[in-house]
Amino acid sequence: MKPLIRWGLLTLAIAATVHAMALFAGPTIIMSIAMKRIAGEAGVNRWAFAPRTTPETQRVVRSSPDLAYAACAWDVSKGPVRIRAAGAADYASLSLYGANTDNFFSLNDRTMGPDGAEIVLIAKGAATPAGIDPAKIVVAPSRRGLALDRRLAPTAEAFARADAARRAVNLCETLPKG
Amino acid sequence: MRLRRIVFVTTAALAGVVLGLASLVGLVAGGGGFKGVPHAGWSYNPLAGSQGADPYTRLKVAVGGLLALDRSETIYFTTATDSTGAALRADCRYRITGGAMPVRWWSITLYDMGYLARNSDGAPSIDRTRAAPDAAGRWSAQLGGARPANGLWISSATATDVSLLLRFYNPDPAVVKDPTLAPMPVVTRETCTGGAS
Repeated sequence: MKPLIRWGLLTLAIAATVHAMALFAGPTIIMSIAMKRIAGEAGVNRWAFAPRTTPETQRVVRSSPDLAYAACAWDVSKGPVRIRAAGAADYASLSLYGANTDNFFSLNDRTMGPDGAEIVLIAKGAATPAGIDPAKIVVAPSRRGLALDRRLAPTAEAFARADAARRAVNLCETLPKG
Repeated sequence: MRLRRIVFVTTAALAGVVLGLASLVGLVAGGGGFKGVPHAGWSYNPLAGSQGADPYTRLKVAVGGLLALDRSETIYFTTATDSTGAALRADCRYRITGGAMPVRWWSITLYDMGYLARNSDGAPSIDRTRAAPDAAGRWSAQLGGARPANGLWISSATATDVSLLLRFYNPDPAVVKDPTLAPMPVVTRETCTGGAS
């Protein structure tokens, strides 16, 4: 085989490998950066309550200025994680994202009811923790990920109400294993 | 001979890395076959946030809309053009008009390169709670660099790369199934201060 053809084939093989690696690793790397930033603020398995989204406070691409955001960087490797979110009279949701950015679980204010939501996140293959209602169990597709609490808050007054509600009720904590 | 081999492998590796990354950036940033589904001047990606997303969609969402919700909860429509298909410009004034939309709550937000524009006028978006419909059920808002005397306004004052994101929260089941059933707001250009383009 001619050297130039060999060089071209090697280049194409490397290009295909780099393309595939970046394609599959990219979302996980971006998510990992977001999780580290949130965990750096509040710690792992703790809610971080973001201030009202403005040009100065925005942290994530295409954040909505009309929503109040709280995030919990969860890690189920040390045990189940209990996640609680306050109910709301207006739109609110609790959504869970795996390490690859997939939104694998969501509840909104209508599906969670006026008292809010409580779920227990466990690792794949882990036993259901004793004393926990099996209906609350959600199996995490990855060891780490993010929980996001969104609340309708298009005005400063609405944001203050949403912030007070979530700070009073929301919980993200590690439970003992087994 | 050995030097030639080193040059052979090194140049192939460098060219391969550049080609591999450039082709990925071109496909994801440039759209390629992953631009989304067009609908009435807007476009949406039916797999945004979904566990069924293909790797290219997943990367595109991670870069341009991290933490998107699955479309059963929210549908995201984007546009960077007006009703004639011309690119949105910060030096132009537009009228956005719409009617009732089959969703529980909606909002339209202006982004500049994916982030809120660095404006200090407190007008980055409009939403359903502020868009009071008239007797015919229609609402309208102005998109431009200067606050209007009255009415809704989205500010493009300091933006350089204008795009709009329309969020449909809790869309009706029929729209979840087929987002192209949704009536969409129309973005009409009114005037421009700069030259035509």
